[in-house]
Amino acid sequence: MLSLKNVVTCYGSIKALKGVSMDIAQGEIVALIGANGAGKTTTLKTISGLLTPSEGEIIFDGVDITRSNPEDIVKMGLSHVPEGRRVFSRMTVMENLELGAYSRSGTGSGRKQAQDDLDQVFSLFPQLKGREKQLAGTLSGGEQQMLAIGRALMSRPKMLLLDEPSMGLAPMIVKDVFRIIQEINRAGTTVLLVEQNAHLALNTASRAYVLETGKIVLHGESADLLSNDQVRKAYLGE
Amino acid sequence: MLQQVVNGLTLGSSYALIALGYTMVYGVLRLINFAHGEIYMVGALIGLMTSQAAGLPFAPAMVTAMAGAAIVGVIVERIAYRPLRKAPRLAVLISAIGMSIFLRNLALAVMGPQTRAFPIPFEVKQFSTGRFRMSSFDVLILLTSIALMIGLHFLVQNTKIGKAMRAAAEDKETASLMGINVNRVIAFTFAVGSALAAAAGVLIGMNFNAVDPSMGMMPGLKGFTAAVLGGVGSIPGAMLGGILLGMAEVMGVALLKSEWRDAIAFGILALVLLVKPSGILGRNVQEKV
Repeated sequence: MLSLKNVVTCYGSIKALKGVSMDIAQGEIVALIGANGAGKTTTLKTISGLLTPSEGEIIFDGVDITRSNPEDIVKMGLSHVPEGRRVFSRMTVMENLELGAYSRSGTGSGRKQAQDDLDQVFSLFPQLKGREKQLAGTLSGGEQQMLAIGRALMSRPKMLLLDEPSMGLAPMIVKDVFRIIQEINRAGTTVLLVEQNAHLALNTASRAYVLETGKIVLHGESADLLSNDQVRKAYLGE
Repeated sequence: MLQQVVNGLTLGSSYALIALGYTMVYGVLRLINFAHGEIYMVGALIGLMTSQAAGLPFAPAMVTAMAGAAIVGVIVERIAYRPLRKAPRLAVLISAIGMSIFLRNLALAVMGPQTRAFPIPFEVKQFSTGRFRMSSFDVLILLTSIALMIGLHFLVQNTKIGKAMRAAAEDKETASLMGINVNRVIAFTFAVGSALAAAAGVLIGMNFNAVDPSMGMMPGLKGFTAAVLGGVGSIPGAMLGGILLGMAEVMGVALLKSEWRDAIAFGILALVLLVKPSGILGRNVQEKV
């Protein structure tokens, strides 16, 4: 579904990604773990088109998206839930969800589909129901995360990129959010999950890549990585 | 007294139309478009030329002026601001001032330095009861401004492009992740802001029966003051700021002397910047790092 080949991304003269390669098959849930500053967010931003790589290529669903714009990539079915949720805080919950469907709205059948998608989002996140008119900025952190994921689902993505969905949330809420992420994946959406909480990530994903200063240093089945000495020392604090 | 209120509202609503362009552009780009006063002048000029040369009545001349200014606004954004999207703000500011000087001199080359009279495309009536007087101009300015502001409110609140504008104003990166073409939204914002300024240009040009290349200077600064007073970036703020500024000027002139008009306006600007730089309805936006 998604493959990265030797992707290099720079901020000015600083190389943040030094040749990252990954392969994610349809229907998978894959984690990308690593320490602060390893380049996890940069990887996601490069995939979704917010950053343009200087070398390498990115293929999504058989199409080269290496140099595509973010607005075109989301139309192809690749949706990015950014770090820190980034809901439009001065807009209502409903408007946020409508913006999620921006790439497909307009036509008559699109509107009907959007209604179906709304129902689906509200059934996944019952917390959002009845608060359609509330400003997104007044929601709690967990609700904002749910709104951010719901908003991304409104574009009917084939694949979802999730950047630190657990950030700043209470443990109970994190459990909820991750249960829903697995539910979304079971319904057929491929997921690439970036997490600093390696334990959580490895218990959610079937496979994982470990990123260290812009390079993939390790990858494999989550179960194997959980018992890998190097991973246990560096990322699981054991 | 009622007379002064009406005068203040009329003047204020034209300031509000200009202020809206500043505030909308600031909202999406965090940029004060210092060429905005010249867009106002270009609008008045197009309105003058179409009603003079083509003999168009008021409404079509107005529409042509707004459309023409919208195109000029989009071109200004495309050549003076878009290439500098990632440049330091000072560079963009200099580019804006350069654009302003260019447009003024372009108008000077096209129409010459002399002030032109605006042909009045309809009969001017005076409505008066006792000491209260209102000309059909006042009514026209007031009604047109109100209609445009209601239209703008609907556009921004209820349409798809309006929602995209608000999203881009809040967070351009995330807006692009929604599938919004941010450059197109910015161009659209310039088009709408410029069209509103052109409407003000035509109305005021007709009211004072004068159009000249440097006419954009003062109203441009007044519109900017109104935008800052209301809270730059806030659309209701620009409307409120415009009305308040118009009121303050008219009341000040009534109480003092007409020479004080501009001193009052810029005194307000200085005061707002000292006391509450975020304006009446503005938010304290924290700079993102």
